[in-house]
Amino acid sequence: MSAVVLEGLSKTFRTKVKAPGLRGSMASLLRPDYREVPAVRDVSLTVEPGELVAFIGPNGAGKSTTIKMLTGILFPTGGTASVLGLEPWRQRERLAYQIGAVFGQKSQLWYHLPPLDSFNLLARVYELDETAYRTRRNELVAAFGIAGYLTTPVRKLSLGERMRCELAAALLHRPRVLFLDEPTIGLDVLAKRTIRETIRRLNADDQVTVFLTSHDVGDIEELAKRVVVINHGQVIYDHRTSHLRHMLLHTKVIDLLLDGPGTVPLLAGVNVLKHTQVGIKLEVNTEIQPIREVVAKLLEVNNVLDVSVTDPPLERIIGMIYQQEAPR
Amino acid sequence: MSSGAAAVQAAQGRPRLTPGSPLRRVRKYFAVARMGFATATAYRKEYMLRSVFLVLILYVFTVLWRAVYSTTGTAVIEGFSLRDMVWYLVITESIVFSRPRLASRIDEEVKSGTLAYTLVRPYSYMLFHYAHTLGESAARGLMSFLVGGAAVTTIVGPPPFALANAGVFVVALWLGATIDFLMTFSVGLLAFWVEETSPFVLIHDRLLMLLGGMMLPLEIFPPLLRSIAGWLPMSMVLYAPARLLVGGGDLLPGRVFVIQAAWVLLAGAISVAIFRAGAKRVTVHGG
Repeated sequence: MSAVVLEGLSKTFRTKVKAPGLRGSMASLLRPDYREVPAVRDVSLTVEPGELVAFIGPNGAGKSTTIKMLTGILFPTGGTASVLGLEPWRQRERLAYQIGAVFGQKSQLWYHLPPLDSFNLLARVYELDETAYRTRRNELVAAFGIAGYLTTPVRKLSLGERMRCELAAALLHRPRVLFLDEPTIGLDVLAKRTIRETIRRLNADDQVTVFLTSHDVGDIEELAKRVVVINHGQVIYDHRTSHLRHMLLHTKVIDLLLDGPGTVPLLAGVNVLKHTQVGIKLEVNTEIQPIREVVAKLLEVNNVLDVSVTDPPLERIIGMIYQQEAPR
Repeated sequence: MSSGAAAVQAAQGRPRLTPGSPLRRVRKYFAVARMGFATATAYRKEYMLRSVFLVLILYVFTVLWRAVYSTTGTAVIEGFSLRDMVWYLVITESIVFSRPRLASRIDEEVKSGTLAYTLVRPYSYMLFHYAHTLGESAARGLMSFLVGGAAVTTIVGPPPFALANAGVFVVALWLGATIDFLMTFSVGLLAFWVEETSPFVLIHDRLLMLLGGMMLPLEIFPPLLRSIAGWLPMSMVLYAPARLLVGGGDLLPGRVFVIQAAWVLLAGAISVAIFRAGAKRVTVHGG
């Protein structure tokens, strides 16, 4: 059985539209005018148990709406979805015992109390067996390295410390599907690394299915084996993460460090990204212009101190996917 | 799946597939109440400051009532001696001081969408807040009562009431706290429909204090107001438990419990209806 199945899932919000000004307010009070806003349109997707999927898209693309439907918070307007064989919005409470969720921007721990108190409460909320709970807690405390601040009130923890506790809290009841909404938002490099490593390990060891949304390319690159891009409510890309790189296989970036202002030779397929007093950054379409020739030309006309040729950053690739028109 | 199989699964550390026995479900909310109790005691300084403020209020009222008793030249007013009156105030003030800012908390959860996220957890949103509020109120109320009681003992002497009244008092206090929770919860839920709930909170709090008999027992009210207020839920929150503990009046515990139970049912039905209508807005319109 697949962990998560979406078939033609759609959600349309009805929002009141109001003309500006007092006149508009009165008119809208007497005869409200509604507009249908499609947030999610006909999304079909299957996630197998143990998969780690990044679900990404620009702001307002429909990511959160989809996650809210999958966790049973929202009713869809069309289509079906099943999470672990349950229909989320009809069997929300039964599903709640088997899924976990971390929302990076909303704390689920008791702000005034130490994390340990929240853990103990959650053990009761999820009706865990006392010994099973203790074993699991020790496991997670070790995995996230949070033994040092279990008894410190949450309000005194740093964001990185708190996030690790949030994740541990969401995993106490051994959820089979974990929804992570921006788990590394606002964290420093080190904290991000700890969290990514632990998520990866748990996913591998416990076969937890992870449904991750993030704007952080590092999260996607280091964690997800599969990337699903949603925009304007529709899935516009669904491939292995490694496939992303192939999208721009014919694009290279040349970075030059110069001894003074340089000149860029006019060549087809070459696009200037940056040109300053001491450097030039170019993007080359290697199908039109062989990279060898561009570099040779650059070295010929400029006094080059250093040169590097790299693949375009993943961020740029994702940006290009975002800009694509949604398939009709 | 049978509960036996589910128990085996839970013992093996797998997640439960179905909610457990009723006992486990009740224990869940007891754990929530404990968290409420712990939260209320997390800030010792704030806790102390509240108590100091309470002592100040009680001192002022004691001085005022002493003046009233001495100018009228009577030892008993409407069945209350000075000592009864001051201890009545200790109880009503302790109840008022014990109330957490529930309405604004709910208001904030509705507006920020936090409410939607609690739906991901296997508990009832209403029962969760009920348990948390009772836990918090118990911690604060107990502290207020002890500090306030100690303070007035030095002025008017030890409590006038018999320990035998404690039983009916606790039941009336609990039912009253339940009514208060249901009303305040409903006021907070208005945030689903109105931008600003604080005027409603203000009106609700004032009505509770005035008609509930926080400063004056209902016996001192004009006859018409007294008979109306006696049926209203506000007096069931403050006056009824306090009067039952002080004792000596003609208020019958049985009558109080019946009126309280009726209000619990009515306020419960109303707040569940409001919550369902509101939750529908969440599930239909998004968090």
